[in-house]
Amino acid sequence: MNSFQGLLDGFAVALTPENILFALIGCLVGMLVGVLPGIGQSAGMALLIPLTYVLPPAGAIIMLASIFYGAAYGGRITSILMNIPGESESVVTTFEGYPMARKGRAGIALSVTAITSFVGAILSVIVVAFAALPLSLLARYLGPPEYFALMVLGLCLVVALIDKSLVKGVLMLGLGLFLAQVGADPVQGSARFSFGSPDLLAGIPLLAVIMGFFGVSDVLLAAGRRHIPGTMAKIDRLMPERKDLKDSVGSTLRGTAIGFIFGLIPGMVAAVSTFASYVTEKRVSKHPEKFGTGVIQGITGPEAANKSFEIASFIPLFTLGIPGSAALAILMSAFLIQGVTPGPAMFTQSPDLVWGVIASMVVGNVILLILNFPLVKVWVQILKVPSDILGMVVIAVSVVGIYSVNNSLIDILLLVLFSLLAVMLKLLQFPLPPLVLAFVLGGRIEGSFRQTLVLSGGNPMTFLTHPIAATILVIAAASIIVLKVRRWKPLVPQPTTVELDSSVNR
Amino acid sequence: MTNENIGVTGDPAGHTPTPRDRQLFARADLIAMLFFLALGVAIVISAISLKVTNALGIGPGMFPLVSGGLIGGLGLIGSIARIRQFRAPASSSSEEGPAVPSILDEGETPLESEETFTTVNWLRLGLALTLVVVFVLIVPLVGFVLALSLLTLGLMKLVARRTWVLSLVVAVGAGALTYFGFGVFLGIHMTGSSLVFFSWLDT
Repeated sequence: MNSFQGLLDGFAVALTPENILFALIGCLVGMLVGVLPGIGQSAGMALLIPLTYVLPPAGAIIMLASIFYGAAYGGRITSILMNIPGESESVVTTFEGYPMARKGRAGIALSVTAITSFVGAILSVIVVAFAALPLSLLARYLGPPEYFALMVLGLCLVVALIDKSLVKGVLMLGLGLFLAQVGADPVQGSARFSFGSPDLLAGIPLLAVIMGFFGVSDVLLAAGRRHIPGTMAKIDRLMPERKDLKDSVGSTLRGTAIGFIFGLIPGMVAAVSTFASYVTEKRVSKHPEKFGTGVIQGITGPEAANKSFEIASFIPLFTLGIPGSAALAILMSAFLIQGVTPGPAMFTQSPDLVWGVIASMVVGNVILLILNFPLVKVWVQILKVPSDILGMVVIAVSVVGIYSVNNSLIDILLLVLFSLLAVMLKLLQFPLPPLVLAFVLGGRIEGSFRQTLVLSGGNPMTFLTHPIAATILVIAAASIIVLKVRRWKPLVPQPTTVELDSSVNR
Repeated sequence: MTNENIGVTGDPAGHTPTPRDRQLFARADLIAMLFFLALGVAIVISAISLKVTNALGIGPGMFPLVSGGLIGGLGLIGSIARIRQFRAPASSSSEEGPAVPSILDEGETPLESEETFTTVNWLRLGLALTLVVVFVLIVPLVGFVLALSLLTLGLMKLVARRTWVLSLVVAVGAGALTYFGFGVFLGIHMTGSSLVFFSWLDT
């Protein structure tokens, strides 16, 4: 099957009424969590994961993927109207979006960014559709040592790219690996850290970790926040003028390219791509001095980059089975729940599912573009619902969701434990994406490491004698050295830099 | 242009950390690092008892040894870094922050754009988690659906501090959604009540 045929077959899956409905639900939930500050896409996806146990595989994955890229659409609404970014990657949108709103161009800013987001997403889906299959064929030549090295690279990049301390990042990585080891040893079946509990012998449930660290803990922290007054810009007109669209073409294409390239790097956060796009637009502009006053290219480029990043980040997941972020780790867990292991074999073992998900990105983005205009005012109304009420509902839904999977009350107690742990870790500025990624990949890392050693007769130097694995491990080490090992800074307060950490919103 | 004033959930960036925030943060950070040090040592000891190597190459204890080593080693490094910070001259703990560089804070602006221990409403947080634990305890008695309604009622009334009417409406709604959505529509079995009186709510 070639890519074109695969994509056509994918549309046959994505365009069934049932899957369009799942895409619609996912888009709505995605936009909602994007709009609500403090509840990010990871939390939104985590809350709906239990539903995937009872939904058909394609519908379940399509719904979660729609939440993943739908959140970016929602995040820009509060950035433009209220100067409050719903997601970390939407911070840049406030730089020009809010000034545009203050000039009475809020509606135009919303509509133009919806269009550029759509264009960025569709162009990226086309590239993903035609690049993923050839890349997955190449990936089949990789063996256990290369996979081990790739997963180590993914974890190193997550630690290196997050704007937190190296010590805390690696510590969370170790904790995630440890949590993944609870239960029966995958090779010999020996019980590890299960304390004689039959429930723990099966391992710590993924949902308890994901919902505890991203769903409930976010809500608990949000419930304690002060209620601050905000000013919402009024939306006068939505339709952009021809000049606005013409001015946005170049920035949209540049943003799409930047977002796509950054999205291919496992561990990269979308906020880096949106910042890179903003800086690029300012540099290529003939009037850089006007940036900060509501320049349209300053929102169209980053928004296109944001969407392109989200779509491109599916490539490492689909071709190598490596999730690049906590949100994609949650999506990967949904694949695993459905009995599908993301990676190169997925294109031959589950072609309908993978092509269906790729095609659904087109469908989902069309839905998002259409919904964008009529729903803006609905989101504004939802923002008026007190967050503590929403939070309490989210806790109740989480409890039902986690119980519905195994009918286990122990899982709910684990949820409480992890939620409390996550609150403490977030307050102490420990980055959580490395923990979740290490937890999701822990079993596979251990499996590929042990397979490699068995194949090599127990020689650990085998990782260095495989050229691809050795190169990847060197890159992994270099990423930490280059990006993290630098002059220690004192604890003096410095000008606030924009937080690129994704522990809350991704 | 007419702008509309509305209340929104506070952005944590809106909170300016106080010296007390920084002090609490540093102390809690030290406790956390000491906890990770102890956890790492416990994992390493357990890993050794699981056998690190065997005839197949590496045994079930190898990976726990690595993760325990990472956790314990970094917990030790973190603890030392924080203790060094505490021992720095008194002037360093002023509002401007300690003069001793800390590897725990490199690459970030400490306590900027973040929640702090003083911004969190610990009473509400503790109540919410306690209510979930109580929920787990009463499920076998009253059944899952009714327990969930009671949990939602407790969350709405005690944590969100809403009126009885609104709390009851949301609680009944949550129970009905669980019963019909999960129990009837999705066919998920939920723990029934040990009391015959509530058995009609079993799914």
